[in-house]
Amino acid sequence: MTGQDHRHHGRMWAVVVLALAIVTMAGTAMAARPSVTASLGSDRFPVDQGTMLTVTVTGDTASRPELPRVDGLQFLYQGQSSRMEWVNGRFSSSLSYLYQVQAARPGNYTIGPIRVRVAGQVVKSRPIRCTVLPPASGATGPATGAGAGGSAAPPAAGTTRLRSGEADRIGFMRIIPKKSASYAGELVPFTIKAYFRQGIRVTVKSQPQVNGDAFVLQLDDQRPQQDEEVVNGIPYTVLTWHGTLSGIKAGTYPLEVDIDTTLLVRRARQHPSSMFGAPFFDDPFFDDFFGTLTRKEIKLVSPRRSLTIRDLPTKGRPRDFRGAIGTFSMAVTASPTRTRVGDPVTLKMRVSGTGNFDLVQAPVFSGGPEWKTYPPSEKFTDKGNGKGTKEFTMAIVPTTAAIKQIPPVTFSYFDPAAGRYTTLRSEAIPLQVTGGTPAAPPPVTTATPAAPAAGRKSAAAGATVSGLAPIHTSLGHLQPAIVPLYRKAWFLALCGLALAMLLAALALAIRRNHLRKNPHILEERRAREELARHLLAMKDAVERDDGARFLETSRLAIQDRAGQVWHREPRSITSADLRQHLPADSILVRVFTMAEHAGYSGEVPKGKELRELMEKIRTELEGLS
Amino acid sequence: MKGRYLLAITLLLLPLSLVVTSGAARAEKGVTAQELFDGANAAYSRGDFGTAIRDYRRIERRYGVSASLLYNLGNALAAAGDTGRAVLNYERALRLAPGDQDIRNNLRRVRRNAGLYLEDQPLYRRAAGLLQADQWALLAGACLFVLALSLLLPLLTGRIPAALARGIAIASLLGLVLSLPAAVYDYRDWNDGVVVNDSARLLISPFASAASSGSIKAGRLVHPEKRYGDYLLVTDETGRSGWLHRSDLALITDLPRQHRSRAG
Repeated sequence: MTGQDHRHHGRMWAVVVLALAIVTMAGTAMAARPSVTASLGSDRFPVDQGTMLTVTVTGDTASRPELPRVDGLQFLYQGQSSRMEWVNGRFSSSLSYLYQVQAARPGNYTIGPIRVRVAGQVVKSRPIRCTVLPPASGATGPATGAGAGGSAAPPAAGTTRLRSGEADRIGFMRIIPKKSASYAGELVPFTIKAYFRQGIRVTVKSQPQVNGDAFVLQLDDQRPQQDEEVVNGIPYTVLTWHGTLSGIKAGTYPLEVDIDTTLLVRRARQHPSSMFGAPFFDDPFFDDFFGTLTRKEIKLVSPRRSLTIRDLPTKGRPRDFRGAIGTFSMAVTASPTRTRVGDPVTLKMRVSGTGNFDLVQAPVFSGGPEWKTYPPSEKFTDKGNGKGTKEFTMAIVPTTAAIKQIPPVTFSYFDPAAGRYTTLRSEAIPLQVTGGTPAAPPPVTTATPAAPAAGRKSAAAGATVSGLAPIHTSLGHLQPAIVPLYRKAWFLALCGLALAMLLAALALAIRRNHLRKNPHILEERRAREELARHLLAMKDAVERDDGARFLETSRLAIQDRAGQVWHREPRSITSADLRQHLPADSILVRVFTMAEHAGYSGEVPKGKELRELMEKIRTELEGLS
Repeated sequence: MKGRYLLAITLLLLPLSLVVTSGAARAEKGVTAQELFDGANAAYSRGDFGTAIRDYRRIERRYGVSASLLYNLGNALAAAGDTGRAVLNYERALRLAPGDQDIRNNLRRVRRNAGLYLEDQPLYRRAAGLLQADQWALLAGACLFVLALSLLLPLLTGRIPAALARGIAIASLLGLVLSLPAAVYDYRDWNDGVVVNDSARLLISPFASAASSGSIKAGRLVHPEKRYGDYLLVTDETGRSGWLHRSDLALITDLPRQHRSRAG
């Protein structure tokens, strides 16, 4: 390269850098102002498919775009998304409005400019052009019928089978097994992906199914993952399933999966706006009500692959091999390790790893006749993708005290990676067995019952053979249902009575406590009772015309009542006290004085005077306060 | 006058005749059920367990159940090798006669023969298992009654020594505090189910195509948690849980529908 060339290159670089700087500055200046851009997902699309229109407003908050009226095109609002950025100290935000574009007929169209009102000013996008192609000869049929010049065909009845590659307008699917060759029964992890073009309304009706009977397919989760992917510049919604498949018999078999879907195809509605010019009815909301939606059953099928299945080798196959294929480990525990003859020991055998756990069976317990064993129960914990843990719980019963250990258990499997069988063997577990009851009882099925004897129970021979208690001979009280005690009337009544008694005891205790805290209540009551007693005695004296007794009883009554009211000892009250507290003409003072004088003068009231005194005393005593 | 006498006699005789008729019907029913029961017992004693089971079930459907009937049915099923239903009927019998040692012993023996052992239970479960739910409830009810009496009587009479009354009250309160939670705990299992299908498997979800999370033996007690379609989410005695088909288990208090018809 010459020096002239170098200068030429340097000049060229300077021009490029300058141009970039100008473009960047212009871009920055533009970014500062609100702008609207519009773009189509595809500028060429078949009349039966449609495409997506994205209107992006940058810079400020904006009203919803005003879409131009384009004869033959319809815009269905699908939603919006916003985006905010903070780059080199500059904040920018944009809002994108998404529309589905549906064409009524093929042809060339121009959309725009699209107007958006941003911060009080109207901003326009550049017009965009698109070409609508005639309907492809696909299985989905045209999406628009009314405006298609009568060329629309009705949706086909039944399910259309679309193999991937033929159905790119809707979607496609793939199955990706981890291996292309495996052993019969071996689990091969796979991934199934179903791609659906965005903007197309599809309902997935089934799980992926494998075709043919050479494979068994097991999905890890019934619900697929949902993501978005762009393939060849086209955005897709992708459903992904993970799982495992296993071959049933040796040979090379085609592998393909399919999935049932329902495609919702929209027929364009004849807009009354063309007649009345009412934009109100152009809202896509009304398309859902008045537009014609037709369903089409679609079955997506994956490309056919082939998988080779090999038989398991017979050479070196352990005798205890039960079909487990994969990679496993085993752990064995026993409890208790100190027991008595005839008592059970729980043996837990845990097989973990990756493989066909459906065929993983309990490890083989190698105990001899000195052990009584029961079929194990199992519990499987699935960790997905063929991984998991299967725990077997087995009851084993030592029948002799000579046993010193629990013998090892063995578990055999085929390792497909190594291509050979492997046998796992546990360690023997020390066990301390003490003497006790002899061997476990024989099975119940060997019972030989005897004829029932008189009395409640028969002398059943079955009891002696099987160890079962004999049958009952008295039928007992028959009842229509098994009712718990707490729903029986007598028990409820008993509880109700007990609760009533508790409430009564509580009420009594509260009352008692109240009286203890307020002793004057009792005193008042006592005084009232005493006064009533005195009045009764006075009345009796009046009836007998016994003046002396009347005066004596009156004096006591006055003392008691005055003592209660004045809070003094009743018997210490004298006529002087009465005169001090009561008016001078009080009948109580007079009677009290008469009673004192009667002791030595002998003068007592009689007859009518007694009755008058009685009434007056009663009134004044009751009014004393 | 005669008419009044006749009316009075009729009114007197009508309820009397009703009582006599119903009593006779009861007696006839009792005799018939007892005869069937005796026949079933005889079949059991001959070793004809199939006939015995059929006749016990006939009594169950026609007349209802008793502890003895369910116990004998459990014995016959156990002898016929149907462990699941044997356990089911012993459990039912225990609900009716919780203190019957024959039922307890045979249930324990059948479970043991089938290897239906329970691992070490926590102390509270063992304590609650000392008595059946009804027994705990009865104890709680009795304690409540005695507690109420011990509180009320001294207040009413004033003659019972306070220390004695207090001692009885504390003891009965203690009994109540212990027995009531045990009763509540045991009643949670009142309507548990028993696995009756030998090939039952626990599923991870309530669908026929769902993967199995393990096997479960016939005779295992399971506690139903919730239902979805024909499947029940259950937890068994050992703490394992999974979905079981409705036909794989029978609920303890869910008796076969009773037919009152005298035919058949």
